[in-house]
Amino acid sequence: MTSLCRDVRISLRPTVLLRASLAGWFLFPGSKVRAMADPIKLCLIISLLSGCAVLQAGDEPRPLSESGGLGDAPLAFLQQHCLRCHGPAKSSGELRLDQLGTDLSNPETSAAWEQVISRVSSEEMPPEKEPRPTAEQRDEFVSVLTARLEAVSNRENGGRVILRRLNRVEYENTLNDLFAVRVSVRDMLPEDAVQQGFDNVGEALNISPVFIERCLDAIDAVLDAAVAPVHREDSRTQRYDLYDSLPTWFLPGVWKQPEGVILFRNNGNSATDLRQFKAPAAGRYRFRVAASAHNSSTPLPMAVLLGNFVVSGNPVRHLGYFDVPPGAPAVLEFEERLLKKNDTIKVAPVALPFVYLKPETVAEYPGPGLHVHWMEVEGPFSESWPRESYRRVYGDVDPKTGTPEDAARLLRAFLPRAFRRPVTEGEEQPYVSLVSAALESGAAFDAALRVGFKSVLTSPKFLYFRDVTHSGDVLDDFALACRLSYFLWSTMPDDTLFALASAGELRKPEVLAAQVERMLRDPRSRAFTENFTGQWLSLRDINATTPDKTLYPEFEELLQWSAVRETQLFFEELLTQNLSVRNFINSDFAMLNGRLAEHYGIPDVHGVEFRRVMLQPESHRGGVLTQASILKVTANGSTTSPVHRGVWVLDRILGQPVPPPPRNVPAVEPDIRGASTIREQLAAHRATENCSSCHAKIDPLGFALENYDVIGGWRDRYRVIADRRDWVSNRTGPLAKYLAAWQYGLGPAVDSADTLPDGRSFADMTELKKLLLSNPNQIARNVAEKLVCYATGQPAGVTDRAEIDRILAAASETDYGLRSIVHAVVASDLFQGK
Amino acid sequence: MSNLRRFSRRFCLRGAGVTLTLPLLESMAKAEGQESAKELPRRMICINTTLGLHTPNLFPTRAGTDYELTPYLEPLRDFRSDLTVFSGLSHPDVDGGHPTELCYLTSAPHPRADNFRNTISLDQFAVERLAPDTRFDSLVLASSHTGMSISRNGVPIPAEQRPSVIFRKMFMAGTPAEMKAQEQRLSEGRSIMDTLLGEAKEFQRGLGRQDQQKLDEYFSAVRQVEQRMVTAQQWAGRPKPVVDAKPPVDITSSVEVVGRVRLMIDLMQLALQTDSTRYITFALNGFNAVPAIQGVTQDWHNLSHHGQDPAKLSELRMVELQVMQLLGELLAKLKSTPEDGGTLLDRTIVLFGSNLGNASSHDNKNLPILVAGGGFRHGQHLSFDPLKNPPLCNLFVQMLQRLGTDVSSFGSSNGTIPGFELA
Repeated sequence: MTSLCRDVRISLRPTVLLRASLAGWFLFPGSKVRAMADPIKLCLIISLLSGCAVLQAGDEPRPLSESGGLGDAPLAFLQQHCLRCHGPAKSSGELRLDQLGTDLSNPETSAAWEQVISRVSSEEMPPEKEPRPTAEQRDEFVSVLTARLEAVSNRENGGRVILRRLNRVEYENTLNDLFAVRVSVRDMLPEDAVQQGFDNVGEALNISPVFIERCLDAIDAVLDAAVAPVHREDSRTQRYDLYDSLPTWFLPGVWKQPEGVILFRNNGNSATDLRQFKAPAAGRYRFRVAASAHNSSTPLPMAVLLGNFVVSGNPVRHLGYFDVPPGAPAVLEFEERLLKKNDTIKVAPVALPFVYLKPETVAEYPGPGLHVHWMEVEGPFSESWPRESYRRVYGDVDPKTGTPEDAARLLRAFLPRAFRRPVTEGEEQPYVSLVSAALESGAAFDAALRVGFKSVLTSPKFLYFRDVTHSGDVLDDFALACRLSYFLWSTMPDDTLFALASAGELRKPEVLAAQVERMLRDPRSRAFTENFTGQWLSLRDINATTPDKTLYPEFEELLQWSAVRETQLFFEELLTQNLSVRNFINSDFAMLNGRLAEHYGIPDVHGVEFRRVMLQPESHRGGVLTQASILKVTANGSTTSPVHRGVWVLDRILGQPVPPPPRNVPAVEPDIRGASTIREQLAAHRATENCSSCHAKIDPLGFALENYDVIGGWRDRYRVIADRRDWVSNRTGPLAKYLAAWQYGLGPAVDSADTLPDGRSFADMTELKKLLLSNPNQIARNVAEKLVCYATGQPAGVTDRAEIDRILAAASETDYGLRSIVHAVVASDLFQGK
Repeated sequence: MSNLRRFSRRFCLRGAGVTLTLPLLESMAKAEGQESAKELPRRMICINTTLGLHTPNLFPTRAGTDYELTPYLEPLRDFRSDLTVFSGLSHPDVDGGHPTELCYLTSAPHPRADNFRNTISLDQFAVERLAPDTRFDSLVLASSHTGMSISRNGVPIPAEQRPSVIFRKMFMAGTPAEMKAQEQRLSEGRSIMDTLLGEAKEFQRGLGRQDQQKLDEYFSAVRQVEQRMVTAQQWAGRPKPVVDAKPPVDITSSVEVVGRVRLMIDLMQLALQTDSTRYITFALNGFNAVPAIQGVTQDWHNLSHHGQDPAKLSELRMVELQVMQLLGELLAKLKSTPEDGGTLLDRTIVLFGSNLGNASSHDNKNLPILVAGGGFRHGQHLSFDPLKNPPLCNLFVQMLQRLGTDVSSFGSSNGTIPGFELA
């Protein structure tokens, strides 16, 4: 991913040439003028300014006094400040404002004007060397034009939010909640398109025939699970010695003990599943694992997984990592559901030193190992019948004797939950008729009822958010309940929200605020953390690259898991404690476990449990930008690119997305042979005038992060591929002769100093953080805009600026506490309006 | 005449080493249709190796017919007269590294843009225009990740990764109970779609224009599903072709790239030979796994970011040579399957290439592109300006024309490829 321009996150609307030229203009003011495809019409400028009519190639004349017009003040502003460079005489950056058109109901045109507003209001334009408008002129231009855009957008759409459907995560969660099951169906559906970084934006969420066909399959999977019979098996308890389960090929690397076995191998593919136990049926089981840390004064991590490990390709559930203490064996006990017959449990050591052991050396090896003393399984426990999920489908009806009337009753009861609002008398009729017809044609009751469920669950009333309004464009209580629950839980409202909506209470500010509190305290709010940070901070990309094994031999699964967890927990800490969003830039604490602390060089933190740790300056940490997860998702597996990271920081943290590079700029070819540093390669690039205007903004942010490698470790020098004699030695200490040697050398020193476009210099990330924090409003604005987009499924546009300002004003009382911002977003007209 | 043709076709299929019996009903149906369709079907396979190909090992330096065999063309030596190498083609404005794999067959610009909207892919466009009367309108395959076929409204069509599933649907007759259940499912499905269409009026009341467009998209999708169910019902009534090949056993290990691709190749040949489908796309992706290939120690994605490291380049070459050999195996299979006096390859356009021109820098210019078979005049290296690439869609237009459409443009095309002509 270490290209320079190619990796820039492009923010161009592909179909919008106009916008493309705008972006080109604003960012490459020095670029050569390319003739526009449309012929220049000299009459245009006159008609635009005279306020009579605007001609666009192929368009009918359109009076400016109508909806398409821009207003007098903006026209005067354009004439005075813009058209000299972006008019018929000269079209700097390929932009001709006189040719943008004024039909604001055309989404492409309005998007182009939004860009103009944005550049003018940020004072990027007109450029400094030109005569500057007064603040009043600027404000008037922005506010009048914004109001026009808003008026047109509201008329076109009856509100700002475009009709959106459930995305596949929401679809899965909602189906599961409706039927009280836990079935993963999201992968059965086509991938959702992403807009502005989020996968819940209405405009991007298309529906194809394939989507509907796959929904039908997903409903089958959910209903199958809901009505699956419980196999009655006698529960029994059996204790095992893991050694007896190990295949012979695996034995050379383990050490058999009088009780159990010591494991030294780290590999996630290790054959340490308990093969002697095979679940006689799906159901609930209790597991007990007695283990201790061998040759270790601190606890060792143990991974625990459930599934069928003999048949490859079966889904495996990763339950997490657990601490195994030194000394007497500790017993880990938990109850879980095994989903299939023959499933079992697997335990494995993780993050142990990578060593070569032979059967004759295991006894003398002084390094750590995981001693599994014994494992015990009890179950399956008897379950009550009918299960809740079965009742959700059939209620109290016996499917063997069900009648059409039963089906009608069941569907009538189902509809309000599925449609997430009360239904009118007879609204169930189409579905009921369908079931009756199926019954008449000879289908069994259960099959016929299923047809009814399927039609309900592929209905637009189920698939789409129905933003029914109460008055004006204010959402009614049920639409509000949906928006709230999909925002904070990524699923349908629960009974409490439904009850409040029915009573007409939810809209009351104090009730709404109390519900936000309740929902954030509920474990379901974990979906908010996962889905919001997963997209805003790119955590979903954590698997996109595998670090180079030669350059980063210390990378392993526990580190990756811990890195993601750190960022999620950091976000939750800010949310729970209502800490300022300044902390995203820099914080005096971090959420760490032993593995990450080791990675960051922070002493005295042990075990896999996370805790809040106060940071010292020498740790070089604090804030999200220096968290291993962010540093990994912004790098490829072998090199870092200041450009890629700089673009990411501008877009995700500072809220200033960077447009794409001009055409035909070759990407810089990464070179890891150590001959030249990325700075040397980029220097040539930045010397070009064409590139420098953007890269002066991008590169410094990325260079500050050069001290952090592709897995987020601190570095003073780059790691490089090297000859054996130049390898960095890790074979020291008591484990020396067992350890696999690192095979990388050290290359050039890292230089993280640079200068921001406004002239402020910094020596390293610590200093850059201070500079970034000089404008906390910018950080908060970005967080608020991202939250508004995620919460409403509609990106925050220019026309939403005033409301965003109000959100920020409300949150400024707590120095932009994250929880305050969430509350202010929910209280805003943006959230409560169509 | 029609009897003779039917006989010869059955005979030919047997000669292919796979004993294959066209069910009587189906072949009669075909024979009856001969009047209107004298020509045998034309077909297309599109393959994208999504981690790129190191083009210095692929592109010959000489253009024209006497180009020199490069390391990556060596495994295709036998097919020199059956293929054309293209250098210097790309999709204009399709940039941004890996996400461009979604645009490989569509040419929709800027896949990383905030407002990116994809467009219909080459294969789905062919389906739309040519409406083949086959059991499957297209096959969308992938080795381990997402596919590259995109519906008309820009939605990726989920790719099938398990050859066994397709084989079962394509060739294995269900039990009477299964067939009855399938028939039941389809007729129920149609009545569900009917019911949904009935909801249109009520839901649409009071919606704004953009919301209305969204909803139109929904109802259009519902109507299409219904239509597809009608077609599927018709096909459910016809017996499936019987092939001698054993049902494939899926390989689940992500490191067994070669074995997995080979299963797909076998399936492609069978699907085309039995005319079960005419358009196949295959995303050959081997993300984040160390391929089980002798001498390879690093994962494929990482190797593609070689950064000029000689050790990585050498391993990358091993992986990519293996990919080229697999392409050779596909071509050999198609060429050894006789059809109507020629071979299956004669009527099958095989497009092979990548959305990455330089994987190490994520560059999307100068894409590696090969076309084999399908009825073109091959045997040359067509080379274009590396700094000003003509649109790859110009080639797509010629492929669409060869398949039988009368289109003159597709995606970002602005003409055709000079020097690339029909055989």
